[in-house]
Amino acid sequence: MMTTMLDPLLQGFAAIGTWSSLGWIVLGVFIGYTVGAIPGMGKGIATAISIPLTFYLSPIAAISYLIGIAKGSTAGSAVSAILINTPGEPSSAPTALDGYPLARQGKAGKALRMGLYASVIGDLVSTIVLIGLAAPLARYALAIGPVEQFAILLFSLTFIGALASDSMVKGLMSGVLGILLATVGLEIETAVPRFVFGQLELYEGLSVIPLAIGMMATSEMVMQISRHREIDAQTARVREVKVSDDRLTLEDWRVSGPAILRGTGIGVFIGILPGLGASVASFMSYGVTKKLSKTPERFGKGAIEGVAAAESADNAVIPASFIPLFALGIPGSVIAAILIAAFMIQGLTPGPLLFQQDAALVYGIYAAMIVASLVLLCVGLVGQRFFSRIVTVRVRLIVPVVLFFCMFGTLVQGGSTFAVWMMIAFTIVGFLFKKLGYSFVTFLIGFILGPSLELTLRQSLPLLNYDMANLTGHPIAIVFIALAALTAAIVALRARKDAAARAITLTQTSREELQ
Amino acid sequence: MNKMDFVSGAMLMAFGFLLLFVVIPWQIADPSRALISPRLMPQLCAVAIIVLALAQCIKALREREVESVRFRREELIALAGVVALFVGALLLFRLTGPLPPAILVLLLPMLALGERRMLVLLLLPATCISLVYVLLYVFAGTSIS
Repeated sequence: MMTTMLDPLLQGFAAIGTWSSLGWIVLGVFIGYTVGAIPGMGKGIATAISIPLTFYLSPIAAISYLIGIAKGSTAGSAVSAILINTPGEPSSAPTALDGYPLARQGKAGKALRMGLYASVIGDLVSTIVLIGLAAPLARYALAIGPVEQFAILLFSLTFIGALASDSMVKGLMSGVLGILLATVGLEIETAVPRFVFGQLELYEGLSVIPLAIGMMATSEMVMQISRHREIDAQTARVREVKVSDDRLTLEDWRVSGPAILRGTGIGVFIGILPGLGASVASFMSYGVTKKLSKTPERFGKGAIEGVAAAESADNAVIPASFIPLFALGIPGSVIAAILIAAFMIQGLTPGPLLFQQDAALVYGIYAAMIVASLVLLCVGLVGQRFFSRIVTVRVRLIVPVVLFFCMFGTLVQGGSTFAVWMMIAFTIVGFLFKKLGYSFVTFLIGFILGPSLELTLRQSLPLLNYDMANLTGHPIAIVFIALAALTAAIVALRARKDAAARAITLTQTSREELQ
Repeated sequence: MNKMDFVSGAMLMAFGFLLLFVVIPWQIADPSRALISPRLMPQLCAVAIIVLALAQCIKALREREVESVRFRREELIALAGVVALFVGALLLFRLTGPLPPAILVLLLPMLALGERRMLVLLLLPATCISLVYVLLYVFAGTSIS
């Protein structure tokens, strides 16, 4: 078992052992770390903007570069959380709870280092779990038919829709809108054009690049522009915080070690489940560590293990979220969905078949992920002072650069101005999604999974003789359909309870105000 | 009542009906040879949109408005600005090629957001444009034209 996994992995290391591949990994991690350190900029924006460039790279260099960006930006978001109490991403919010107090106590260097070590450990362990789990799961996935595949896809979308958004209805709506958008273009069986409105460019369907860039990057820039004074005021505060050079002690490691291991476990578990995301993992890990601590009163005032718990979980989510991607072709996170786009650009379809058709590539990606973890450590340690300065960059300099790369990236990948018009349209849609509370994650995943969902539905209907009663011959499908219904029911009941609790609180508040 | 959720739900429901009864029959032919109609998936999506939008409206009606989502003036100005910037850059692109719109996309937001340092106004566009030139034209061997 070990040899069967080690040999291809060693071949994977050989495949990425070129200056070019290593250079792309280092560049990806560096860019990711830099972007992650900028308040309000996250891994989604960084990877979305970078996709067009990967069009011209070899598959392994392209995927490695994007994975480097994802890993780097996840770790980098801790920098702004610790130094200026403004997380680069929501998942780094618990890092700020103890990281910022540490920085105020003159221990910013200690917090940044612990954050980095915890990130690297979480990330590396999670990558090893991915390597161990994805291939056996993929073998199992290959044995199942279209009916079961359809049920699994339906379950995944329901699960993501129900949990990735504050409102289940809005989450599911986002997923359905994504699936609907995926139907644009020529239909697979009959070649009948759908929703093309006479536009030749739409016959091939909508490209994921303008969609992802418009909804993630440019719409986020709109929000940043509208709050630029407020954000600049926050970044100006960093000048009050000096990054000290205090080192981590054995005592720091003693208290943080268990927190890192626990955080990694939580991150891996949450990462495997589609749709929950890194924020859930980091908050959960922080909460559990605080609860298990003998001195919970230290939390929120500068407990180093709080930083370790949050960062290890945050970073463990990324590689673990690739397990359903590699094993089943189901993206469980925004990064995994964007990675699918990069695979598609390279003419590859991630999923169980990839292990059969291009195993060398899969193991090359695994090797690149391990290398990226180690590069992350080096880049983080060497560039600590540089990244600490990055958080002071003003919005008025970030926004034009991001908009420029969004426009020219889309232009290059799309090959025509039509893609940029699409990007503009999705900027407006993305803005509305943000303001109205619809889930972009579910929308993107719905868009990515839409064609597979339709294909498996088309294959399933004749197999079932167009009679749902024949589902009884497919127990796995029944289990997943039941799980989808159960997830929806549980989330709906919980939302109802929360709404009732809110109503009681509101009534009490109103009474108190009246009195 | 949560007004914003109700309005967005009602609009989505109207969109669902429009899709089901107007856009799908207009935009997707239904060939008789097809075992499964190419309209099936879009129709399923339209029905799902209507049902979910109805659920959203009912939920919004039952809810007490705690904190209404508001479109702030600054956000709408920013959105209009970004859209206008891209539209202007695209129109310019058709007339002049890539360099002038590149400068426009970099300079205009900097000025609008308050950057006045001449060195930064010169260096940032020069660096970004050079980087894209090296990455896309020289390194990747592509072109924007």
